[in-house]
Amino acid sequence: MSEPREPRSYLGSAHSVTERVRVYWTETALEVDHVESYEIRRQRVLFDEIQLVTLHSKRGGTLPWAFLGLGAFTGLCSIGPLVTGGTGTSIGQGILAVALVICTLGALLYLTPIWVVTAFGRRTKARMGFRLREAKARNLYARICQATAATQRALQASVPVEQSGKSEAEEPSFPAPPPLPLSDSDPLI
Amino acid sequence: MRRGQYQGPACPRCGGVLDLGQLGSGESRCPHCGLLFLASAFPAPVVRDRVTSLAEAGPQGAAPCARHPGNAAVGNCSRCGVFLCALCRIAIDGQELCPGCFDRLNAEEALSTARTRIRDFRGLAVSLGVFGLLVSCFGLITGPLTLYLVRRAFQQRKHLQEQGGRTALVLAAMLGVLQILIGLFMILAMFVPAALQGTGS
Repeated sequence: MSEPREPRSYLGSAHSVTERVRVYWTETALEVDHVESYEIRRQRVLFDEIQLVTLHSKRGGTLPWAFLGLGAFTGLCSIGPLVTGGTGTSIGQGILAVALVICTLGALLYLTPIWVVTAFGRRTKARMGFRLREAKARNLYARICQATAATQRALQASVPVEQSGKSEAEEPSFPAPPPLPLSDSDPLI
Repeated sequence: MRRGQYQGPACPRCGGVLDLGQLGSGESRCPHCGLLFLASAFPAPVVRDRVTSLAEAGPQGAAPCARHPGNAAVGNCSRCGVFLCALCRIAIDGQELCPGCFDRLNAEEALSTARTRIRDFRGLAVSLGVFGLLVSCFGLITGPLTLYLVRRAFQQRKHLQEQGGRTALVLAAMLGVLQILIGLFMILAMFVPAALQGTGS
């Protein structure tokens, strides 16, 4: 009985230790899928309800320090027998060396900057992170801004004058959408 | 605001609630944490449907809403056909429904747009594909189950009109086939030598 859904394309995700979130683009909204133990809880941030779109970068957090601590521990474990003159098994030392490399790579990965695009709607929000993909994050930010401005402008135009009850001077102002693609140099972020 | 109820536009860095009236577009500084971020604020106009009263519409051609006798009807329910005013009309999936029919169809999960909880078949297929490989002795059970979940995930992907996510499913299908092969190999390795010994003696 229901019509087929409008197609949607994957935009990005925002995973954390406690939750996994995937965000999709549809014609009318950003669809946010919260993955909760093999069940998806879906929310939509409609373009006509978006109030704020932000872009910022962050790095670090607690995970790189956890990785560094683990790496230091495994490093000490692997060189300990050599310093004390003991003889460790080659297999054990090899495993510790692999663990050390993995921890170091993990720490380096989490120390790289992640670019976060957030769209705040009236009732919910959508957040996506792009590690080492600044251009993609900037383009998505601009794309969301453009779609939001176009949708809200069309919605405003569809409201009859007597219903909106506002004169032209009171017309809401829409921000000029950022150009596509944006330049890579941005000192503020 | 870290977790819990959504409180509206907030600083993306510290979560402090922002006053949109003071927030311009472009480079912005959070009043709570003082950190910078790029922002675009939008007015998000609220558009309310105009409800015409029966008296306002006049006697000619005006029908009353089934739920609100004082309001003029603006349409019919696509399912049960009752007259609907602008307050009662719910436009969804290309239909106009009354609240009662909406509730019923939503309870039957017949309105795909209104569904907010969906089984994650892709996650299940990938997880079982990886886990089943770890317990390959049960490959003849976990392998077909993985392939079934992959099939369901492809159907769901088609139903949801999703683009992307195909690689993970193909990988899960390959893992499922691998589990079946390992399971078959283990059974053959167990029974064939015993059978050969039996015929040899």
